[in-house]
Order: sequence, then C-alpha cells, then structure tokens
Amino acid sequence: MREKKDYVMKYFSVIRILSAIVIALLIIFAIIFFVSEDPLFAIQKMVLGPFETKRSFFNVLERAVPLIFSALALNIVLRSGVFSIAADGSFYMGAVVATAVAIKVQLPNIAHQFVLIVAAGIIGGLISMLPIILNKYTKVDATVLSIMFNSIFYYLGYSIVSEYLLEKSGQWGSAYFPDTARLGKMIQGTSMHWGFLIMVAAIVLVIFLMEKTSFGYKVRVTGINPHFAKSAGIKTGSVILGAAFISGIVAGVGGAVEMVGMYKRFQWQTQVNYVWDGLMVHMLANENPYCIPLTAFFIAFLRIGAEIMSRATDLDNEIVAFLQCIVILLVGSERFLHALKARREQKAALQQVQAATVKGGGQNA
Amino acid sequence: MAPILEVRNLTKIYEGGVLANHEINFSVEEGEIHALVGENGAGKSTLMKMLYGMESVTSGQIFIRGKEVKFASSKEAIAEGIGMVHQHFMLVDSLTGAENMMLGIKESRFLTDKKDDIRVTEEVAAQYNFEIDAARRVRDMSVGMKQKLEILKILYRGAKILILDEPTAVLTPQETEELFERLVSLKEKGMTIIFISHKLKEVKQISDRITILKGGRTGGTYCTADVTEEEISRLMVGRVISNDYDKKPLSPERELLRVEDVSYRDKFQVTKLDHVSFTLNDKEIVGIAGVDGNGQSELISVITAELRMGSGRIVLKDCDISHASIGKIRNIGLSYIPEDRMRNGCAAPMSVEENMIVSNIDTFASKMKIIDKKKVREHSRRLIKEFLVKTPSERQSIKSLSGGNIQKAIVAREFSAGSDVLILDQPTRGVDVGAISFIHSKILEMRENGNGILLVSADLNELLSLSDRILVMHKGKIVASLDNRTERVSEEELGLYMLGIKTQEGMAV
Repeated sequence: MREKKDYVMKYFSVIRILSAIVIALLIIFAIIFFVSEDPLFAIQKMVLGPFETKRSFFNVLERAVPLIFSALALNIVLRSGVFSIAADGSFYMGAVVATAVAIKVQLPNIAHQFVLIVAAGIIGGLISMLPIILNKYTKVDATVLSIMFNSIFYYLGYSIVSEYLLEKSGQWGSAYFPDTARLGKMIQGTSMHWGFLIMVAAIVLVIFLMEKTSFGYKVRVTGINPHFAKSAGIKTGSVILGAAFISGIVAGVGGAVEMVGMYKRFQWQTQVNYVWDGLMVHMLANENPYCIPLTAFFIAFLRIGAEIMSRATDLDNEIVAFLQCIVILLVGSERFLHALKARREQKAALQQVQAATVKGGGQNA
Repeated sequence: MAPILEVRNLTKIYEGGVLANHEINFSVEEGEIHALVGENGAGKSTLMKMLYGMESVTSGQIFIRGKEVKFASSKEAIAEGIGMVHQHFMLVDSLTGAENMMLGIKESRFLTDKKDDIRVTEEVAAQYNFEIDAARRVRDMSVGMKQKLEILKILYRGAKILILDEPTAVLTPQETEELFERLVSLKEKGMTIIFISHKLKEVKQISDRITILKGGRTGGTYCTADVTEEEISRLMVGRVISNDYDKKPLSPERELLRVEDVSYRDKFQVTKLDHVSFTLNDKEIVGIAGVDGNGQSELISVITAELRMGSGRIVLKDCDISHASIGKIRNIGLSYIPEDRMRNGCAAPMSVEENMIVSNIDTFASKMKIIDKKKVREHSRRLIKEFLVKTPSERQSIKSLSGGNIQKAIVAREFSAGSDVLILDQPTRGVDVGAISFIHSKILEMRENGNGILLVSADLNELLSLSDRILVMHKGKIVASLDNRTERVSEEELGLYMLGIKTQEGMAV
C-alpha cells in the first residue's frame, strides 16, 4: 500500500523492548553512581566483565541454558491461553528424576544420559498436566493450582533426595553422579557442557512445533480466542492439555540437563525459581520463540556481569534485580511509548486517505 | 440562532491507524429529528460516541448552542443535555425499572425508598406518555419496554438531545410503530433527536433532515421531504440496492438435516426450546424468524453442538449427531457462520490467511502435521479474490479490516469448506450494504449448488427475500411454517406470528 516502508512501525515492538532496556540500564548506572565509591570501574566490570576471560564468557552461555529451557516451556503453555507456571515443578522434578536414574541405574555412557533425560521429560510432562486436569474438574484457577503444585513438588523432590539418594557424610546433597550419567565438557577450560547442544535442539523443535505444525497453529488459535477455536471444531481441552504436556517435557529435560551438565551431585536445597527468569525471557522475546535465545543470553549476560562486578567491587549483585524489575514493568505496561505509535498511525492513516483522494475518489468501505 | 449541536472538521483515528471519521461537518437544529445514515463502517457509531464523550476526539470541534465543548467522559456530555440510547441496552437485568431509573442519580441518600422510586418513575413515564411497569424487573420486560425505560432514563437525567443508535433493530414492526409515535411526541415537546439507522424506510418516515455518512466523511445533509429512498441509498453507496433477487425455482431432492422433537432448558430450568421439529433439504433456504430471545440462538447452538439438548434427536445426512463433537459435525458436512463474528468467528490478531484455514486446518497439513504454507497462501489468495475481501495482503491481521470485510472473509472460509449444510446466524448484521448484497448473492449461489441453508436473521427483509420457507419461533416453539417460494409472505403477517398473536393451525400442541 504505502510506497515508503515505515520502519518505526514495522519494528515497533523491538524498539519498545530495546528502549525499555536502555532506560533500565541508565537507571542502574545512576544508582551505581550514587552508592559506589568507584562507579566507573563497577560499570566497566559489569558491562565488560563477561568478555574479559574465556571462562566468564562461557559462563554466560551456560547460564542461559536453564533460562532458555524454562522460557521455551512457558512459551508453549502460555500461548495456549493458560497462565500456568507448572514448568517450575517440572524443572525441579526433572532434576530429581535425573539424579535418581543417574545414581540408581547402571547403564553405559550415552545410553545412561539418554534414559535419564527421557525419564525426566516424561515425569515433567505429567506434572505440568496436573494443574490443567484439576482445573477442568474443580474449576480452581490453573495459575493458583500450578503455583501450589510447584511447592508440593519441591518438597516431594527434596524428600525423595533426602530419603533415598542422600550421601550421608558432609554437606546435604545426593551421592556423586557416575561419569556415565554426566554430560561431559564440550570445550575444555570452561564449564561448557554438551547440554548446550540439547538446548539448541530444543529451540529448533519448539519453534518448529509452534510455528510450522498444525498442532502449534491450534495452540495459538486456542490461546487467542478459545470460543472461536471451539466453534471451528478444535478440541480446545485436548489442545491445552497437549500443550501443557509438551511444555512440561521441555522443562523436565531442562532440569535434567542442568543437573547432570552443571553439577556433580544434587544440591538444590531451595526452590530454583528458573521459571520466573524464564517468564521474563519469554516476555522480553515478545512471545516469539525465535527471539528467546537472544533475550535469554541478554539476561544471562546481566547476571554474570553483576556477579563479576560484585566480586570486584563493593556492590551487591542483587542490583540486577532492579534492572529486571524496571524492564518488566516497562515492557508489561501498555502505555509505554504508546503515543509514538498513535502519532505514526494517525499520520499514516491521513496520508493514505490523501493518496486515495488524489487517485480519484477512492473509498474505504 | 446557532444550531443546538454543530460539529466541525471532526476527525477520529483509532489505535492501529483506523481512520473512522475524517473531517465530519454537520449540524442539528433544535426540535428536529435528524437521521444519520450510512453503510456500516461509515463512521456513524464513532461519531456518536465522540458526541457522547465515550471516545476521545483526535481533531476538530463540537459546539452546543454555539459554545465549544470538550467531553472527557459521558458524564460531561449528560451534563450538557446529551443522552444516548445504545443498541445494546445499558440496564441491570436483576433490578426493577424504577431501580434502573435511579441508578447513579441518587445523591446523598444512603437508603433507598422503593415506593418513592416507583412513584417518581411512574410520574416521569406519565409525563412523556410512556407506559412502563416500574416495579417489574428488567429481565422480565419485553424488548420494547426496556427501550422505553432507556429513553425515560436519559430524559430523567435532563437530556435535551437524544441519540438513538439503531433503536428499531431489536423491535417488531408493531413495536417500531409505537416507538415512532413516542419520538414524534417528544419532538413536539421540544426534544432534539438524532436517529441512527440502516433502514431507509424508517428514516424516510420519521426524520426531518438526513445527514449521510460515507467512508468516514459527510456526504451532505438533506431535507427528508426532498429525497427518495433510492436517492438516499445511492448517496450512501453510490448505487441503488435492490433486495429483489432473481431466485431460480429449484426443487429439493433429498433431506440433509432433520431436527426431531428437540427440547432444551437453560441452567435456570427455563424452557428455551419446546419440542422443536423441522427438516432442511438440499437446494433450499429455510429462514427462522422470531423476536430476539425466543429460542432461535438456542436452536442454532444445539444444532452446532455448542449446547447439549435436553431431549430429542438431530440427524445430519443420515448420521445421528445428537451427541457428536463440533469437529465431527463439521467433518460430516456442516458449516456455521456465528452471530458474533469477533467472539466466535475469528481470531482477531491473527492474519486473514490464518483465519481462513482454521476450520479445515488438517487438510492443509501433511501426514507429519506440518502446515503446507504454499497451499495455505494459494487457498487464501483465491478466497480473497473470489469473495472480494478488501485487504492489503493475506498477511494483514484480520482485526484491521472493516466489519463487512471480516464477515466476507468468514463467509469465504465457511462456504469453501465443502459442507452440505450451512447454518447462518445473522450473516449480515452490522455489515455495510455493499457487503450485504454480495453475501446474499453468495448465499443464493450456494443454494443453486445444492446446499441446504438454515438462515436466522433479525432482518425481516433479508428473510423474506432469501428464504424458500420461513419458520417462525415464539417462546421456544415453532408457531408457523410459511411458504415463501411462489408468493412473498407479508411483513405484517410475519409480525403477528412473531408476537404470538397468531398461531398456525396444527403447529402449537
């Protein structure tokens, strides 16, 4: 229609998210200037720290792995229109199941990792279905149910590890994993493990599922307008349940990969809460699975940067929490940069009318 | 003397860059009935919402008695003496008429005095010669009475300018006549009335002057006496619309849908369908007439499996579908155009293309359930062309199209699904005249192709000009089955059946 493409409108959501990040960074820098003795050094550590050594750079990549698994899991279930964060329970239990299979089952290398990841995925999938099923029969809100189940599965997982898998001596934690169960180092001199490749595969699979298949299409239609989906003959109940199951599988696999990739034994004594970071990654990606890796690396970069900064200076790494809050607040708020969009739209609409009139009385019926 | 209401260069651009009004100019004199006509999407509702303070003004000015006003809310518009009766009533169903009258007005007093409220309401009603039962709950009132209550409500709030948004859309012919009498007497009392309508016959009958809106602009103001219906229609669309279609006489050969003794009660145990039976054959259009709320929408919901019937049986092409799922019914061969297109007919933020494949998505996917993008694109481009859907591209989100074009896209999807039975629930409600005649021609085309079509419509003209047979529903029963094939049923006769004044012999058991 228009001869000149309006790039501001085309990339509006990207511009919006980027400006939110810039504003948040500026506020953080301002705070650092207030509280730090040597603000420039602190900022330099935070921004450039992750690039200073090979090890810290790969720290960013491996920190992104659980974020990406959580965000992908949420991407599937949230786009089906159900706000369930059961992925947290699936992630934790995935790690517990992986631990159990790693310690109690003896299998050769590769087969062992394969079995423990598959087991974690299935259990994770089943867990994520629970809030959906209970919601159907009790009409209790699925969000509330999912949060409750997250607590239940955290304590359940914790008890399983304490009862059956515990190493009696020393700090609380499970027995050490055998080498056949661990995902080995992918790059020597870093803690980068082969789970990174599993993550890449998960990204490709989820994008493919959500954007290219009829199942993904049904999930999206159901999420956008369930009444319409129903009257078009889509079985929305099964679609939502299916989405929850697959979401749980992704989260469960994520938990397993994180556990056997990063740790020598199970030591998660608290809820890991990757789901909230995953939620932020999903939001920043504008619900678009293609953008999830990018935003996850960004969040991981900030986390690692803050940790490096707090080691080198007098600042606490919790300062990143500020940044996350501001970014989420701005991205989540509908009116942020709304005027810019409205002005552009009005101008374009008027231009269109003028163009139509010049052509000779075109009408927009 | 300055006109009571004047609008200068009013422009409204909605979010998403939809230009609804473009430099509108018109004025209303005190004490006249001023009709505002235009195709749907011409910007009538937007204009009225701006006058009533419900929508912000992008640019331009509004004057009341020569004084410029800027409304931030409808409260301010009411304070200036503007009142609006919406198409969908703004009444609380569970409260009585009197309580609705007093809502939001009563100051200072914490406790309500029911008797006094009823007395005041009846006084106001008597003053304007409106008959309403102030003590009755709104949910037990007829549509006509609800509308009278709405008008009284705004009069009681001191309105001098009354805006009525398609007030006759929900009324029977008899109720419409009564409303018009009341409006004329209000005019004699010095009220100014702005009357929005699609129905040119009514506009011609009641208004003093007419302002025509076309594509978001003013198409001129005329004295009603100086223009004929045909002229108004031509000014609105640029061509004369005739509702007399050339219908080929066809004789049905086989039965497609049979509804047997179907009853349905809602969750309050109110009988909504009472032993309804009828059949639908191929090559015919069966119209269902009835005043809103007499079981038509329940009948459609039961057939399309959105509701489960209490008792009875529905047979589609020799398959019992009484307990089948929506997906299965669609597979056997039934397509459905829902009444509320934004709620049940499309996924607003998705593209036109994605909206066109939803009901038969599996035919576009390979064995591995991968969507064939090329096939989808070809399919949607063909439909857009065939059904004249005005859109910049098939990837445009469907919500940015006008109502008529959204409906054309939905019709395209449902008609192209290859089903034998088409259920059309208000297929042209809120659609512009151009799109209406196009959709009508497509419906007739489907009839000639051998489809059986069940048409529910509040627009009697539509029913009369399309249907082969007309079933009239009253209180959940079919009270008449009228043959419309050779000779047209008269609108008056239909009205008598719809109101339950007349019942065809042998229909009521």
